[in-house]
Amino acid sequence: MSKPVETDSFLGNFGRTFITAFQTVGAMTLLQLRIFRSLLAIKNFDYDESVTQLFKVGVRSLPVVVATATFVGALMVIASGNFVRATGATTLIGWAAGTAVFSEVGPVLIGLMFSGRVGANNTAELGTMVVTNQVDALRVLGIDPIGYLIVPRFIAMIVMLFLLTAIGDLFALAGGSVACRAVLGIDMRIYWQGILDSNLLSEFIMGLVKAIFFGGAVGIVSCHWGLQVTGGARGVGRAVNDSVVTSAIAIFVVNFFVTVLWT
Amino acid sequence: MLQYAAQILDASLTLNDSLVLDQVFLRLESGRIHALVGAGGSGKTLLLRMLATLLQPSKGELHLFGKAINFRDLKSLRQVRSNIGVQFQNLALFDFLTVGQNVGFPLEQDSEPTKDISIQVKTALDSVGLDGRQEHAISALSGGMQRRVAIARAAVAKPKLLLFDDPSGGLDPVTTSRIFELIRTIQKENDNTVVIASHDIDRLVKLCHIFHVVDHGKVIFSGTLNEARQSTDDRVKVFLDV
Amino acid sequence: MKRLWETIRSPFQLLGRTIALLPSARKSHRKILESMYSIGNQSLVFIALTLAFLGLILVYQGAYQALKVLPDLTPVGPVFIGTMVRVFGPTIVALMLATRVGAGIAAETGSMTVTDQIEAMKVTNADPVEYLVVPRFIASIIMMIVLWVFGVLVAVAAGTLIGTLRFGIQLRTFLSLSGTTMSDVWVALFKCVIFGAAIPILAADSGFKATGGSEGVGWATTKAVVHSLFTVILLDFLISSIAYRFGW
Repeated sequence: MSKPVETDSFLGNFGRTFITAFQTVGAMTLLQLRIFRSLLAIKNFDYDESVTQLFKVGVRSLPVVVATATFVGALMVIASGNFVRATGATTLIGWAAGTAVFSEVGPVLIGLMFSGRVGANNTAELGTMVVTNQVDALRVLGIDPIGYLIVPRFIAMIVMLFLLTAIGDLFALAGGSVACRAVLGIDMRIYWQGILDSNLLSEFIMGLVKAIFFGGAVGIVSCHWGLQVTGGARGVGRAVNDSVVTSAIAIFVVNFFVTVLWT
Repeated sequence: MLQYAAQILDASLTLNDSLVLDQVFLRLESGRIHALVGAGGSGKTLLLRMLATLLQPSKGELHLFGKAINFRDLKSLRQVRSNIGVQFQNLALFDFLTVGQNVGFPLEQDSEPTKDISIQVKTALDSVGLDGRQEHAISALSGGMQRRVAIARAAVAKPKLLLFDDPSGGLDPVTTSRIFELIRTIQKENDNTVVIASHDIDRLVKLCHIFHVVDHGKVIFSGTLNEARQSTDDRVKVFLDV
Repeated sequence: MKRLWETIRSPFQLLGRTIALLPSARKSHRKILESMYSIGNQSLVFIALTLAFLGLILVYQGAYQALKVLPDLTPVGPVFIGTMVRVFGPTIVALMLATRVGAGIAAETGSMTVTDQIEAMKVTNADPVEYLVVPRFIASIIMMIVLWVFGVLVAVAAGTLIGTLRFGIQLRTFLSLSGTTMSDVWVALFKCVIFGAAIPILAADSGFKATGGSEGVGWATTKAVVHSLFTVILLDFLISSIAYRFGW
C-alpha cells in the first residue's frame, strides 16, 4: 500500500489519516470479496483446518470472555444503582441490566475482548507467516492463501463470537445478580424476576445478530492487517496494533447501524 | 603472575528447566585477544552474556577485574558495567536514536560533560570509518555499516573488557577483514581484554592469542594454537582446524 | 497456578520500580512531552470516532427505552451526560487507550526486547524502566484525563445531535448538568488516574517478556491488549463498587 504525502503538520496528519482510512476500507472490501469468492468456489471444504481454528479461537478465549462478561454485568448493575436508589424503582434493575447487556454492552464488550484476544493473535500469526515467507511458499505450491488460510479463520470467528456472546450474555446476567445482592443490597429474586418479566427476546436476538457482524468484522480486519505486514518484528507489532484499533472502530460503527436498523 | 580480567569458576546455568552451561571453568588473561569457538547452540552466546553480567549463573561464581560479582549489589554492578563493552550478535542498535546518539549512549550514562561526548563520538566513528554520519538514522545504513556502528558503540568508553558476538556474521570478505583489523587496532591502542565469539576460524587464528572451545555447555579447551595441536580431543582439532 | 501468580506479580513489581523512579523523571521533560504528543496524536481520531458512535447509541437506546417505559424524554439528556462522565467516559476511553496505546507500547518494548536493545541498555548502565517506562507512565496518566474530557465532549456532542434531531428533545432540556454531581467527576478522575497508570505498566511488562522474534512481539502485544482490557474492567468494577458503597 503506497503512503500518501509525507508531512508532519497537524492538518497534514489529519488528512493523511483520512486517506489511509479510505485505503484501508477499500483494501478490506476487496479482501471480503475474495473471501466470498473463495467460499462460493469451494470444492473440498477443509474440515480439519476449520475445526482447529474453531478450537483455537473459541475454547481458548472462553475463560477471558466469561470473566470479562461477568464483571461487565456487575458493572452495569452498579451503574444503574444510583438511578435506582434515587427513584426507588428496584424492580427496574432486572430490566435495565437485561436490556443493556443483551442489546448493547454484552455484544460490544465481548466483541472488543474477542478482537483483543483472537483478532490480535490472528494478525500476529498471519503477520509472522508473511514475514517468514510462508504465504509466498503456499502460492508457489499453487495453494490459494485465501481459501486455505483466511476462509477457515473467517468462518471460525463468526461462529465462535456468536456462541461466546450467547454464553457471555448469560454470565453477565449472573455477574449482575451477584452485584445486585452484594453491592446494591437488593434481593436477587427481584433482579431475576425483573429480567423474566421483561420480554427481552428481541434484544437477545439483536445482540446475537450484532455478534455475527462483529465476528465477520474482526475476521476481515485481523486477516487484512496480518497479510500486509512488512518489516519484521516491529512490523508485526504495528500490524497487531492497527488490527485491534480498526476492529474497535468497526465494532462501534456496526453496532450503531444494526441497532438503528433493528429498532 | 598472570592477571585475569575475567574468571568464570565452576558455573552452571539452567534455563527453562534445561542445563545449558555445565560447570564451566573459563579464565581470561588480561591484555589478550581471546577466541570463543563452538557449534551453534553450544553456549558461546550465553557465556558472553554471563561475562557481560547480563546472565547470572545458577551455580558457581563470576569474577571480573579481580572481584567476585554480587548481582544484588546494584552499585558495584554499575561500576563493573561501565568497564564492559558489548557488540551483540544482532547489533541491538537503538532504532529510535541516530548513529551519533547510539555511539554516545554509553558515555551519557556516566554523567560526563556533553562537550566531551561529541568529541569522543567523532573519534570513535572516525576509527570505524563512519565519521560524518552522526545525524543519520540507523535504518539508512547498510548491514556492514551498522555493524561498525555497533563496534564503535562497544568501544567508545574505552572499556577494560570488550566482547564481540559474531562481529563478521554475513558480511563480505573485504568488510570482514576491515572489521578484524579494527579489533586488532582497538586492542593495541587500549591494551584491553578482548573476547571474540565467531565461526570464522581462519581470521580468528590470525588474530587471537588464546582459544576457548565450547561444546554442549562445557568449555573443553583453553589455550594457544600450539597447545591445541597437541590436544587428544578430536573435537578441539576439528573446531580449530588443526 | 504458579504461572497465574507470576502473571499477577510481575506487573506489580514493574509498577513498584516505576513509582520508585518517579523523582528522577524531573529531568526527562522532553521525553514525557514527546510521549504525550505521541499518545494524543495516535488516539485523537480513534477516540473521536468511537466515542461519537458511543454517544449516538447511548442516546438512541436511552430515548427509545424511555419512550417505551415512561413516555417522557426529559431525563434522557441529564442521565446520559451523568453516566457518560462517570461511567462510560473513563471506561470506554480507557478500553480504547488500552487497545491503541497499550498495543503500541507493547509492540515497541517487545521489539526492543527481542532485538536485544534492552540488554544493550542494561550493559551500558541505562535503566530500561527509567528510560522507557517512566515517561510513558506519566504521559499516559495525563493523557487519559485529557482524552476522557475530549471523549465525553465528543460523545455529548454526538448524543445531542441525535437527541435533538431524531427525537426532538429541546437543546436546553438535553444539555442539563442536573444528572452530574461533583462526586461523579471526582470518581471519574480517580478512575482515569488508575486506568492511565495500569495500561502502560501492563503493556511494558508484556513487552519486556517477549521472546523469539516477530511471533514473540505479536504475542506480547496480544497479551498486553487482553490483560489491559480485562484489568480496566476489573478495576472499574472495584472502584465503582467501593464508590457506590460509600455513596460517592
